[in-house]
Parts: sequence; C-alpha cells; structure tokens
Amino acid sequence: MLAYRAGDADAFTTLYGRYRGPLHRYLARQCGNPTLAEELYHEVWIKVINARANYEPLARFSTWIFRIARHRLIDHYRQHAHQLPLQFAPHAGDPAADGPEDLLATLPAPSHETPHAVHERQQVAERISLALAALPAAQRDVFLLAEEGGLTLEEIAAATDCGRETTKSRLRYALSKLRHSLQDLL
Amino acid sequence: MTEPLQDFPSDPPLSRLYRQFATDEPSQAIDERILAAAKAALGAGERSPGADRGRWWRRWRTPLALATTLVLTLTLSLLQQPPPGDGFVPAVPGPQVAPAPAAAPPAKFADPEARPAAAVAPPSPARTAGALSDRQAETRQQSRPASTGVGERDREVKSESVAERVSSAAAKPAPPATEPAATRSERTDVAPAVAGTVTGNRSEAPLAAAPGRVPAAALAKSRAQAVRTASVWLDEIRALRREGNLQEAERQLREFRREYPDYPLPEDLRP
Repeated sequence: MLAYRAGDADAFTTLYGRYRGPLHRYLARQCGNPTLAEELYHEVWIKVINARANYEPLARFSTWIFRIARHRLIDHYRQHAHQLPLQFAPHAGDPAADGPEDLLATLPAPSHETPHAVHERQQVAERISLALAALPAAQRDVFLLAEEGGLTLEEIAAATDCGRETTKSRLRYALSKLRHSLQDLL
Repeated sequence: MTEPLQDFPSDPPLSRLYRQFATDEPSQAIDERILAAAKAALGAGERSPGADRGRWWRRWRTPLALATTLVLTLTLSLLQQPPPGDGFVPAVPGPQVAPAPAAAPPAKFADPEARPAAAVAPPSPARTAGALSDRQAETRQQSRPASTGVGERDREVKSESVAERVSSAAAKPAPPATEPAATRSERTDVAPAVAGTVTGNRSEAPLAAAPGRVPAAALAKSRAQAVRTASVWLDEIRALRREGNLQEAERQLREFRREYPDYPLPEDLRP
C-alpha cells in the first residue's frame, strides 16, 4: 500500500490479487446477495484507493481493509435494516422462493468441471453457506474474519469493537455450531 | 508468542473444508473496473494543479535565475559605462586645435582607440620627447594670464602628475630609427597608459585621475563643451547671424569670449 501511495500501480495490482477472493467471500457470506456483495466490494476498494494518500501502516493491511468492509456492511445494514441479513436465511420469507435451488443458482463454480462434479460441489458449498447463514451475525462475522481475513483474536476484537474474550467466545461458538451442522462432511 | 496461537479457537478439519469449497471470486469485470480506477487515481494525482506548479517551477527555476542574473549584470554594466561622447573629441585639422575646457576629464585623449587617426599618428620619438617636455612646462604655468597660444588649453587638461610621469617615460632613450612602426607606436602610447587609463576600460580613468567626484551637472556641461569645439561654435554663431537671430548670436559670442578669452576672433565676428 505504501508503494501504491508512492505511485506504483503494479503494487496495487499485487495487493488486489492477494485480497480480492477473501474480501469478496467475506462480503458475500455476510450480506447473502451476490449482486449486493459485488457492489459493496467495489465500494470498499474505491475507499481503499481514495484513502491511499492518508494511509499509515498502523496495522496490517488485512486488518485495515476488512475493517473498512465491515463498516461498509454496517452502513448498509443501517440503511436496509428490514432486508438484511434475514434475506439470506433459508427460513426467512417464502421457503419456495429462497429455497436451495435459488441459492444454488447464485453460487459461482469453475466451468471446467463436469456437470455432475459441479453439482456435487455446489451442493457442498450450499450446505456450508447455509450453515454459515444459520449462525448469529456476530459469530459469523468473527468466523469469516478469522478464516478469510486471517486476523488474530486481538485484530478481530479491534475490528469488531469488542473484547478479546468476547471474540474468543464467539469464535468458539461459531466453530462448534458449524461442526455440528457439517459433521457428515468432515 | 505461541500463547496467543494456542489460545486461538480453531478446528483444522472445518477450516480445511471451508477453504476447499469457498472458491467464489469477484467477476473479471469488477476486477478491471477497480484496477482502472486505481490507475486513474494515480494519474489524477500526478496531474493535480499543485503538482503541475511544482513541476513547472522545478523545470524553469534555473533558467529563470540565470536570465535574471544576466539581465541584472548587463543593466549594472550599462549604468557604469560613461555616456557617448565622454573621452571623444572630434579632431580639428590645422593649427587651430580645439581647446578643451579645463574641467574635461583627463582621460579624454588618453584612450588611443578613441583618438582620431590624425591625432593618433605616432610622432617620431625625438619629437615626442620634446612635445612632452613642452607640455609639462605648460602645465606648470596653468595660472598664467591668458596670453598663450590657441591650442594650449587642451594640453592643460592633463594633470601635473600625469605630465611628470609622461615626461619621465619620454626621457628614456629614443629607439633606433629602424625599429618597426608598430613598436614605436606602442612606446608612444606609454603616456596614456601611465596616465592611469586602463586600456579597454574608459570609466576608470576619470576616477583614477580625479581625487574627488565631480558633480554630475558640471560633468555633463564639460562633456557638452568638449564636444562643441571653438570653430564649430563660431560656425554656429555665424549661422545665427545669417538667420537674423542677432540677439542670440551676440549672446553666444559673449559666452564664447568668456569661455575662450584667448581665441583670436575672425574678422567677420569682431565687433
């Protein structure tokens, strides 16, 4: 980021390649809407670009960018509190409309795989997504920050504005619930 | 260091499963949009007005400083140069050599380059020595009553010290007659060189010869008078008479007689 601030465009390309997947998955899992996730994803990176002049390496870049993403999500939640995040939950709204078939159609998959393999992978991915969606928002947030962002307990605690022990407890609960939901896949 | 990692709740099989199937990524279109925005932001930052001003100043500050210094130096050197006419008196042929006023700068004839060809023509060494001795004697009699010859006043402008140094230079043995003319002319030019005139720098001669600074008005008047010789002045008086401007002609004639009391008036101008 410092190199990009100094005018090196290639440094930003490297940085973007490193964080594009984790950041996108974090937003997609949190908001549950691929189109909205891409919109938020774009906004987060634009914020990063615009903040380059004032960037100071006070923390790891991953901590910084995931914190921006989280704040952007919170802003979106506040603006659309009646839609999010229940929209992603399988038991919310019309069960037929938000059923597994609709969610399956929205999940991206590599094109080189056979339809059967793709179908199987999509099923597993769907189950993981559903298990994540079933978690409370705070626990899902902590789990995604740990898995996608690679943040430590202290960094997650700082990003979520809560104590370290609270973060630790949330993460433990999240892991326990996920293990329980995905027991047959492990 | 390892304590926080041990403290960190983890489930490696669950993490492995999650990472195996969490492969969704943003579309290529949004990648291109973000990368283009990043490059555009860099370009906009480089083209900001402040950066343009900085680049302009960094590019032009050295040439501007050099040009300013050059202009300042030229202006100062032009201001230090004497105005045209200083140190230059047109030659008057024949015995009626233009008498210069006593206030004229001593370097008037000192510059050999400014002297007309007739005046610069090098005399023989023997004649030079004799003439310089005469000049020294005349210079010492500056306070004598006005009964001397016509061309003496221009010689009186030389200071006594200058004349003495010139005479000492002239008292040296005369070079042989077979010596090249160029060498002789160089030796005859010793006088102006000794008189304090630095060749090629006319402005230093008056300063070196005069102990104090001459007022600017007196200096300008003496310069104007130096340019207008006696014969030219008389021609102007004749022209005024021909034009019928008798009062002005009479006034000019009175002024001429006051300026040149020893100058013999021509027949047509005598009262």
